[in-house]
Amino acid sequence: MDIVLGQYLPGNSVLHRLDPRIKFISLFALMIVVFSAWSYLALLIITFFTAVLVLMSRIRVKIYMKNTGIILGMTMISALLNLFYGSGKPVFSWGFISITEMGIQNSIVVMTRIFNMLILSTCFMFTTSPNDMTYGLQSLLKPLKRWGVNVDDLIIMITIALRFIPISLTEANKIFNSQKSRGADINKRGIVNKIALFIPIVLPLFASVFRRAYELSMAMECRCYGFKEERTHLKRLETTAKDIFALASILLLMIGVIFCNKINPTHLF
Amino acid sequence: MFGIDKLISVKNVSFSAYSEEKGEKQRFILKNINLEIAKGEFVAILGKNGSGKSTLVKHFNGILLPSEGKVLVNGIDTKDEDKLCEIRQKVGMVFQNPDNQIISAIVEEDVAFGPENLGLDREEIIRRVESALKAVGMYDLRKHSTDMLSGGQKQRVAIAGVFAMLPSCIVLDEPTSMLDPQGRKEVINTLVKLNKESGTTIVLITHNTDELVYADRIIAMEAGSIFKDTSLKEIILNIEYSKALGLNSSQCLDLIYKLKGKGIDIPITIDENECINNLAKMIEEDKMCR
Repeated sequence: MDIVLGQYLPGNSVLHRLDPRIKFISLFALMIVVFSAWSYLALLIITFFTAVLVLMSRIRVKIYMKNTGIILGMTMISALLNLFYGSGKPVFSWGFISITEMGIQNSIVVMTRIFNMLILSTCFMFTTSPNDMTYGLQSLLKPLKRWGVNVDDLIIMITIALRFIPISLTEANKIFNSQKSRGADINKRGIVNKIALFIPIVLPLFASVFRRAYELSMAMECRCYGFKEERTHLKRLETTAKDIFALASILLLMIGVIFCNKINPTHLF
Repeated sequence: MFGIDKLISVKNVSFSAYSEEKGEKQRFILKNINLEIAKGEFVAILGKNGSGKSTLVKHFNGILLPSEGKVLVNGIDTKDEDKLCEIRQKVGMVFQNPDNQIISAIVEEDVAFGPENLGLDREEIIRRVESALKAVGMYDLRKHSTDMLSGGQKQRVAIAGVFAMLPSCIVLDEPTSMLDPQGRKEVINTLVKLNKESGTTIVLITHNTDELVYADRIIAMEAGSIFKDTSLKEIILNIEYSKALGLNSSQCLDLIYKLKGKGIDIPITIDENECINNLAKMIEEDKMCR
């Protein structure tokens, strides 16, 4: 069974090799930039930036489209609806439908923003492995320790969850097949039957997961987990020139967007 | 009191799962066990299901504490909570299902889990991970995902994870029972190597006669007590013993007993090569006589 965790697509592009912390921060900064842009020029620059990132990820545009298609379609519809809500001088009116200048502006801005946000976060998901995300989080959440949040435990929880998701899925598959081979009627119709069917699959799965958890906790105890206050780490994240470059370019983008918002406020017509 | 070479001493240990205070009937899983394991030994523990062998080994590193008696590891009582970490470092444990003891999704990170817990320096962790992975022959796969490994490889990673804590003793609770023959061989060879080269004490619970060949000493358990503490020879010479202990008999042994049944006198062994040599010699002699 081939399970793709998250949406990570292994690769060796520059984006894949960026420091995950920098990627987290960048994504966050980009979100702010995207939602603070309202001038057409700024939106254009952002879209261009997104396009460059997509190219840099060395993942085919088709795959991006496949992954974001449905959500993108839905946002397009909602953006289109924006067309009809807007005050001001109507540009076009037919019966009770009237499209105003502001409606057009709104729908273009909203559409571009959502489009960029979606593609950017997909790009992040595609190029960051679950492990890298964990390391990134671990490092970024470290300051929370001061307020009594046990970041190490949190990270171990995520690590174990990541490890056990594929195992549990395989297990579920096994249980499904063995129940089927014992004559469980899997193809029953109707929602009640479907829910009833859930029981012979989910109960054994839970039993097995609890057993696993028990054994795992014992194995962890055997390896001295939880005895020392401070854990050390094998993995060390390294910020290199390309990470600095990434941050610098995002900063530049930010300044650019602010500037564009100033000189080119949305006056389409 | 005890010599320096005694690594684990079990003294009059009894263990019951139910507490008397709750008014439950006491049922002893272990009954008055006395045992000493020396440094560098390769000990195999045999016994049927429910004979208490897993319960016994869980006393070796303080996962379970005896109801009566005491267990000393390097002279430290396992009831001493302050020294529990030290004890678990000294006596590592590997379980049956490799999937349930690998914590990280990447080989080298899983091996690093123990040293990380000890709060060691990063340089020291790197050194230990490297030497542990080399010792079990998994160094080339250090960056691999743990999900993609075979059962034998996973179990070797688990052994490396324990070995990276520099234990004096590794206890393995049926480590090969979920593996295919190839994986079994890998794991056993690794254990023999660790025992010979690093002088690590190995305590191996097994049902497989083939795996007993390497053991210096065999402890057979039955119904919560030690039934025999002897050498391999004595166990296999006695077919009743093997049967009583629920041993999976080996092909080699089966053949020897069948030949013996036909009136052919052949020395008992479970080492395949030795058996082949013996047979060859007998056939040779037979030809000469004719």
